[in-house]
Amino acid sequence: MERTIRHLASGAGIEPQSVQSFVTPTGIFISMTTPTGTTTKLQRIVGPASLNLAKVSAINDLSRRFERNACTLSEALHELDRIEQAPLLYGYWVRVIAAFLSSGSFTLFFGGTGWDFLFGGIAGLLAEIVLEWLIRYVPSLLAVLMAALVASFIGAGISGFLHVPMQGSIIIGSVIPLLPGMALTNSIRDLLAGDLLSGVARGAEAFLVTGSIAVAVALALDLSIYFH
Amino acid sequence: MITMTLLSILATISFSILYQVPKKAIIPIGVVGMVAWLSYSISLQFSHNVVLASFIGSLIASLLSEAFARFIHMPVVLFAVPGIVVLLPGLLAYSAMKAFVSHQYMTGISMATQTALVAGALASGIAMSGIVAKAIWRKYRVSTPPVR
Repeated sequence: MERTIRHLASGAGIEPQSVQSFVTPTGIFISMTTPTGTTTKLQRIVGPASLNLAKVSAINDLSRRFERNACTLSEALHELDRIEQAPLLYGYWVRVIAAFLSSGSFTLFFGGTGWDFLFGGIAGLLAEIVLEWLIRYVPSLLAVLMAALVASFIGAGISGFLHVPMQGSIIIGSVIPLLPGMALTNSIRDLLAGDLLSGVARGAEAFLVTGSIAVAVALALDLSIYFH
Repeated sequence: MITMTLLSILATISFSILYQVPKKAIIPIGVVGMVAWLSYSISLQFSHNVVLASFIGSLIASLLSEAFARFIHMPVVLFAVPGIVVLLPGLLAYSAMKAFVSHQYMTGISMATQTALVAGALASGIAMSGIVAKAIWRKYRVSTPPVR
């Protein structure tokens, strides 16, 4: 993010030293010194953040093109609008099917056999549907908790009814897509790069999401033990 | 082994679709996932140590991701995160949770510690590959004449 701002600044012909930026997951601070004075800007980041790597990649690409002077400022702004307005690269049904396939294959990965692919896939698919529906209304942490609850209850239920030998595989497979892999990786990269505040903030987010998934799995397991 | 390799490709690709990665990155991400799984399982057979094998798998997969990222001009995390997801210690974390809810706290704590160690090994593999790749890239750039 800070690198993107540096690319944009050097594309606009400003000395790298005179642009300072400080980016955290909840706000962006930019200060720019030009011969006419110093300008500062604070932009708060509000609203649910959705994970869209296609956008990240497109903006990264744009900032590098702007740095090489391959496009003008108005072109860049226009492009930015286009990126922001662009619909999701993969539609709802593609995402749901992807959730099915990934949960199914993770179920087999974690010791499932044959039919477990189908059950794990269905649990993961329903978790994805619940997640996408709830994230519009409630904080993302709660949406992940509910999705993990749905997935692990279905997983525990199916394994209990059908006496699946590896009860865990369906539950693990269906909650794996909910894990905050990106937040965790970015957190560690930020921490190692010396961006302590941003790293700790992202780490806290990843920790909370992981914790809520663990709570959901624990609840489902508790109930399944209770009913045995 | 072959089934698991194919499964690792399928799992990685379908996981990356949930993250909305650009279309031309999908095949490289599948390759990264396959390499991660293969290097993990091969090193597990030699060392019998899950933490070490996870580190090696994550390191090799992220080095490959760094190469892809520079080749296709896309951020590294885009390849590294979906690629490494097959190495996540899901079974360990699950067993820890299961031990906790059935009041076997000592087993739970030991499992949870092992989970944390594996997760730390994966993360340090990603982090270390970034440093290594940066050093290699700088050396490579210095040794070649600048392209005009």
